[in-house]
Amino acid sequence: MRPVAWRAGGTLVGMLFQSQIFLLVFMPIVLGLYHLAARRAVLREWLLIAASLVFYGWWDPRFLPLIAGQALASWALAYLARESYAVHLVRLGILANLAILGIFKYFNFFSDTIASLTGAELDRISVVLPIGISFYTFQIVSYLADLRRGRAPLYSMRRFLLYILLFPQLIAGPIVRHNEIMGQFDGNPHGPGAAEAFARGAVLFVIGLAKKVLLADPLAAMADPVFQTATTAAPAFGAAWLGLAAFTLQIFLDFSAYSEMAIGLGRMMGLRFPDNFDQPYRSLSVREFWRRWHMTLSRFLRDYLYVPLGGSREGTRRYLVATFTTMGLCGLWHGAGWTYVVWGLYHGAGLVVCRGWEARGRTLPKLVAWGLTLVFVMFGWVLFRAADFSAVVTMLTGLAGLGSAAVAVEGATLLVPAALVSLVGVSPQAMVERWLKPHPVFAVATAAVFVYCVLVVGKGQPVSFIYFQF
Amino acid sequence: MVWTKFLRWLFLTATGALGAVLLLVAAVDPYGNLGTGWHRDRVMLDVNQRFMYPQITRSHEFDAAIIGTSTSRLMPPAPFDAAFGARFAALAMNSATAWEQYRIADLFLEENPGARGLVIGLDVVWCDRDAQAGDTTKRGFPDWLYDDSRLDDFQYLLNMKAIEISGRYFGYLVGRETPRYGADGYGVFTPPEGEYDLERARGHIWGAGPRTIVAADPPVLPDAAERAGWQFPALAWIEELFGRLPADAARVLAFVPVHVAKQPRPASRDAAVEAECKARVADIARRTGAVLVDYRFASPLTGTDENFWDPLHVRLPIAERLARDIAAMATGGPAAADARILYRPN
Repeated sequence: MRPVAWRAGGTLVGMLFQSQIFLLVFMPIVLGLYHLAARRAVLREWLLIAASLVFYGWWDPRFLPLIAGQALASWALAYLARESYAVHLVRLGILANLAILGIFKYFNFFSDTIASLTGAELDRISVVLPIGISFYTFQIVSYLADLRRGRAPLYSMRRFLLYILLFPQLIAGPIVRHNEIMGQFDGNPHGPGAAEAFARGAVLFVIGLAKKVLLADPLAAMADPVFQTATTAAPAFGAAWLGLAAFTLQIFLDFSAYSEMAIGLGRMMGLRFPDNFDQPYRSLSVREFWRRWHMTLSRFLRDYLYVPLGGSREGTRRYLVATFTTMGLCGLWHGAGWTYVVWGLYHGAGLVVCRGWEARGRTLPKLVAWGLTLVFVMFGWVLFRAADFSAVVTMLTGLAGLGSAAVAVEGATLLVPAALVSLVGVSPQAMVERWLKPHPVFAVATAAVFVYCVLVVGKGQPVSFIYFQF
Repeated sequence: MVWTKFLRWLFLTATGALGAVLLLVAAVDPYGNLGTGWHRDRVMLDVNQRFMYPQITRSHEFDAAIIGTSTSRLMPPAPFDAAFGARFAALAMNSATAWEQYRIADLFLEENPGARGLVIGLDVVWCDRDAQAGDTTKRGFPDWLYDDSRLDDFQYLLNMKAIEISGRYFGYLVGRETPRYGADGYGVFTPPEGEYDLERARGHIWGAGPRTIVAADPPVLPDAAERAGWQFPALAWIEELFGRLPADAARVLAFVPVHVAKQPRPASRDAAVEAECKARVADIARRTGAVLVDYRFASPLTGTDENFWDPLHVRLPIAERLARDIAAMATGGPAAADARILYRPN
């Protein structure tokens, strides 16, 4: 997953949404051209494809043949599978796409695991993980799976390319289903309500931008040193909890911000992407958490993994297998490491316990349920964020008050606005759709926040150090 | 219609504000790199010299330069001006890596091809065995101010810091801001001499308390083969810089003094490495016709606490004396007290 280089020392240098090159050059040019070409469907679709290739190639042009190859080959298989004798090709396409994901993302994970189990010396491969491969591969796979089930038509090659490459949601979701977007490409971007859609999209984009730049990034600077310390020594109690609180808020604000920017961008082009986050930290149970957290992934896993595995309707044993398999793979999807798998299984266990509790008709006072859920999720983030299992242990030691390593955690007051944004009110999408009024004050405020964020992310700023202390 | 009006407000405000910022930055030209400023004042309004000094090299008002770290920054250019009949810019930068020092010197020589002198205040960074091209610090190094293209600089100017420094210029115009250092780059960063507090300085120098410095026992004596294997990658950059100076230009290398508490323990491996580094620098001096003087050894100067604010920084009168003495030694004078002339061309 890696929403937006949330790990310390992330080396992603592509055209992030919150870079000036995107905000001041790429986005205005693409939106401008797109709306100039609004009345010509084919032209605007090719334009978006070209823009998406530029966007993707900006990260690393070497990724382009892979994504384009995966998309084109998958479309070709779907095309050939029109004839009933070739239907098995679709299954081949699904396997091939998963194999590509496996090689690029998981080869070294499996290789290392087998090596540590058997003691054998196995080769590792040195490849750059193509950005967004987990997202777009899932979109391709979901389409092919639907095609196999007879639930998807054959789209034109252009449409299919556009579906896979569409730049707003290419890197970090939301994971969009073919049947919720393909029809929208036919819509007239300048139809009734176009200005309103653009305005709401722009405001949502700026809210996401502000969450990312003004909250998530500074929170990362709080969380990173704590988790870094945990690789060698247990952080002191206060630092451990501050670091965990900071990461809990960071991962949500960062990831949801990127989704909001994506959804906002789509809206500015007259496209509606599905919502992805709905204030998940307000959840009163683990099940509710997964209905509010990365909703498009939960939906994908439910429809393409959990339900085909039997779901909850074929007995307890099948339910347990389906739940733990789904959540284990969910963990693995987030990152190629056992800490992620255990994180997924931990949530699987939470879901099972939660279901059992609910099945017995038991309830908890809301505040207790909320607190328990949040603490459960936060401990999960220790698994998710820590570098390895020994770092998990040292971090937990610190959280238990048994650590002593001092960590300078600066800017803790930021936790307050970050928590308010995460916990109070409705999601930014709902806010923008329901409450935004076309008043100039909101327009000016949005523009001001946008400009402020642009200036904050500006490159080339001298860092002043307090150096001499005579 | 109301939403169209909303969008109009949004776009006009955003483009207007961004345009205003660009105009401000272009009009003030906070790093003196754009050439679009309405004024020609060269006021140094930020403490980060990496961002401020390129404009000094491009002013073409100087035909010689002093580079180094903060250990060389207190040496005034005037004695060098007088000794060599040149106009020296003070381009030593706080905590600069050898690579960063090379970059400002490189830019200076590029902009001033007929340069008449280069003084390099040497300290430990030049003897770093892991030095490599591209070494910078957390203070940020603006490559964009050091390249030949000014057009692309705009992408680094839309930020809060550029606005802040531009704003300081208006503060300067109304007398509320003072330049962080002079138009030649020279500035005194130590407190006024009257505020000197020996006990406080000793705290910085010795930490827990003064101690006697004793030689390593047994002494570490690497053999010639081992010493020959040590690499000091940054030294090649000195040779390259001196090679680009006109033949009659002044080439001066000075190991500047730091307190003995900060020097390698005698007879230790670090001391052997430093001695080897000095020998290599002497070789470079021989090859390039440079003067090499050394203050970086145990002496009354480096062993007296009262001469220092902290283990790296001498007091201003000492620095002024250093500048005079180095200039004198570089022009044929005798070795100054507490200094050694390691090489001087005949």
